[in-house]
Amino acid sequence: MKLKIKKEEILKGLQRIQGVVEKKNTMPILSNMLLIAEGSSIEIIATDLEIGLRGRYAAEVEKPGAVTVSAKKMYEIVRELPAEDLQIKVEDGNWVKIISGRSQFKLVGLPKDEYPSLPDVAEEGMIAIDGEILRDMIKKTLYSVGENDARYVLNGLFVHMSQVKGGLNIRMVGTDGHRLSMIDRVIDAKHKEESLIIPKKAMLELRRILEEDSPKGELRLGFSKNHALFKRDGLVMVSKLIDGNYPNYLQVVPAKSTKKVTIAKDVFTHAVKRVSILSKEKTNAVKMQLEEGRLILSTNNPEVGEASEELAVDYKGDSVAIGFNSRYLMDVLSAMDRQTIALELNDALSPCLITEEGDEHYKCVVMPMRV
Amino acid sequence: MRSILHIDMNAFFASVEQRANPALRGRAMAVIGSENRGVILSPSYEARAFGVKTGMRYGEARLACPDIVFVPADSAKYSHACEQLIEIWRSFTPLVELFSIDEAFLDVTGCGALFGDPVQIALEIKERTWEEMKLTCSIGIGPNKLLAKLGSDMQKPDGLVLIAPDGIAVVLEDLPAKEICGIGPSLTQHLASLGIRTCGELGRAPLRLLCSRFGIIGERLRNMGLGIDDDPVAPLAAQQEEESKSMGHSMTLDEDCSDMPLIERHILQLSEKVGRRLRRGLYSGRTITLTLRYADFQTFTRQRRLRHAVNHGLDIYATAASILHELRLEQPVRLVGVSVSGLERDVEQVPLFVEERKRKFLAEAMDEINDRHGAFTVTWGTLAERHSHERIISPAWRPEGDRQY
Repeated sequence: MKLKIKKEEILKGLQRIQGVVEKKNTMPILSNMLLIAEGSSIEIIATDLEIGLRGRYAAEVEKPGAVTVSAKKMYEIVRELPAEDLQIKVEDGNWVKIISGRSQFKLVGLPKDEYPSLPDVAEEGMIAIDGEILRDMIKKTLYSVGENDARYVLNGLFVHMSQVKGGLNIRMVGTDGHRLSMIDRVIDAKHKEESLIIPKKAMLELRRILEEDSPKGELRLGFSKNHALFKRDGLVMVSKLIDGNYPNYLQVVPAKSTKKVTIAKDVFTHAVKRVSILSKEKTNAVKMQLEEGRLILSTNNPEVGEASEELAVDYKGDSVAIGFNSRYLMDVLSAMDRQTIALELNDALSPCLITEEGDEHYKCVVMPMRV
Repeated sequence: MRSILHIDMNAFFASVEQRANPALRGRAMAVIGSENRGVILSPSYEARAFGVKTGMRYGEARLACPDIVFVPADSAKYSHACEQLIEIWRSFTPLVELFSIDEAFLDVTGCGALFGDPVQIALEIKERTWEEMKLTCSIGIGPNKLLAKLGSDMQKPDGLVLIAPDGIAVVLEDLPAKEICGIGPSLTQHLASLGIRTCGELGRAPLRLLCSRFGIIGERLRNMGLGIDDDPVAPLAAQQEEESKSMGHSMTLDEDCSDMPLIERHILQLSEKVGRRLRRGLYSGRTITLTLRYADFQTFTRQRRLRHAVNHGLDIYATAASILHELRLEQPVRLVGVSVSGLERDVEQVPLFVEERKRKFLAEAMDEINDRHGAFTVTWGTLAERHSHERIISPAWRPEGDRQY
């Protein structure tokens, strides 16, 4: 194998796979990437057996070939190279030689056959979706997905597709057992009704890809029994699906609330931030007291001190005092974009619904704490 | 110079039983763990005269004293008596540190103007303990806890020993090192291998030698030999503030047992108790440890770390039972223990899912009922028939706070 490539071009590819390659040393080959040179491009492939990422990058290939080499070392080397172009050569014994300007590196490589292959997912019936819409849906739900939860289905984002008037409704739901977020968006597409759970890591990687300089443009989604497939110009990501039954999330989204108050998001966000400075470190507890005409936020930490802030709100109804983990509130607030939000409460032990005014298709639920 | 009293109740459980039942007075008797087996918890002084000791097995005790009467432990009686004692002690000083259910340290420094010198206070305490409760105790008085405890050990029963500063060296010179509270059998052996047998020798031992052998406790050891101890008397409230590192319970079974369902039931009962204690202290923990002791006293523990902290009896049980199921029992089991460590403050976050919420609220409702009407008043059906099983009071028992259950 012998090729010439622009530093900028290969760097983009190397950057993308850093999150995918295995950091724990369970299977050494998984910390490598697979490099295939063919025609007028190279392919960079990485997988941790859960997620696979394959990208195509323009190159001048003199001699086609393939090799696997440490993804991290390759990235670190290329990042530091002085010149704009580099040359990659594979020599006998799978030595990978990188030459740029006056720098030369020789990396230990392994033959390509040892690299696990990515699963094949049929590409028929893929759904086309605007990258921006998808990115927004992920941003609004991924924060609430569980991490390392023993209830393993909670470690993934729940996706439900159903045909509705006007197109295909895509619903995403995340929950960690303390809070939940749910978003519905209708796109112009057709697909059978289907539910699946996509691992958090895959969605994080996908979001990263969508956040690259050119998020605009279409992305295509496809699903097989065990895998999800995401495709965008020259880039393919495959992820295993989480097998299992997602809990009955609709049951915990309050349908009716006795107390509702709307408030400017910025005002509320800053007040929560300020007051939570003095919340107890481990619990982040903030007390929220809703009374006629005002909302009072307060914290009390016997070791440090106490804080309170009063916000004027348009509210006429029974008073209620509820405790929340301020971190959960902040997560919701930073996922929201509109200027006004609505809080819907019942009592101190019932879920609180937070919505953005003008978007009834995005719902966040936060469970109270006892304070 | 501080004035510390160490009060050690004489044959506490036995004396309480003798006080309650006139037929037992003056007789060789002993309080035991349970009807059929276990060990001697507290022999009366009449039984001690025959050589019956705490920790003996029944057979041994009966061999030493054929006429001995065994009385099963009644923890409620002892904890109640302990609460009364604390009240007497607290009328002299707020600085009362309960060391175990029948021992306490009192710091009476500066109480002179109110109650007289430490010896007068000790005499007064002994008199009131006898007048009000018909119990005797041994009291040691010293400038610190170490010496006070040594003093109370020197005269039993009904003793009063003052170790004055100028007498410390004399007392310690030929005292075997193992008499000091904190120097156990294995430490005694290590010290002996260095040629240190008495406190006098320990106090003269080069600090470098002790530190190279025992590490950071080297200095403390030498201080013990010199009778130096700066440890303050920590009153009850302060003791509870201290964060617990683990919570656990264990029990000796009525008879050696190979019956899995029965062992599981014991584990469930212990798990429930541990869960209740965790919830009471607003704790939850991630590491579950199962302890088993075989009939031949071989004891071992196995633990498992969970991804999430738990404090519900059923969660603790599920983990402890799964550990049990992975073991191949080589012998009948004599003792079972369950403990939870890796404690975190339970953040009082209400769970989102209805099932989990119900479970949390159910546990709280059960706790509330059991707080009012006694432990295990409401419990799982599996445990209903075990309710009558009297528990053995734990040495870590405290009248208040998270050690109470």
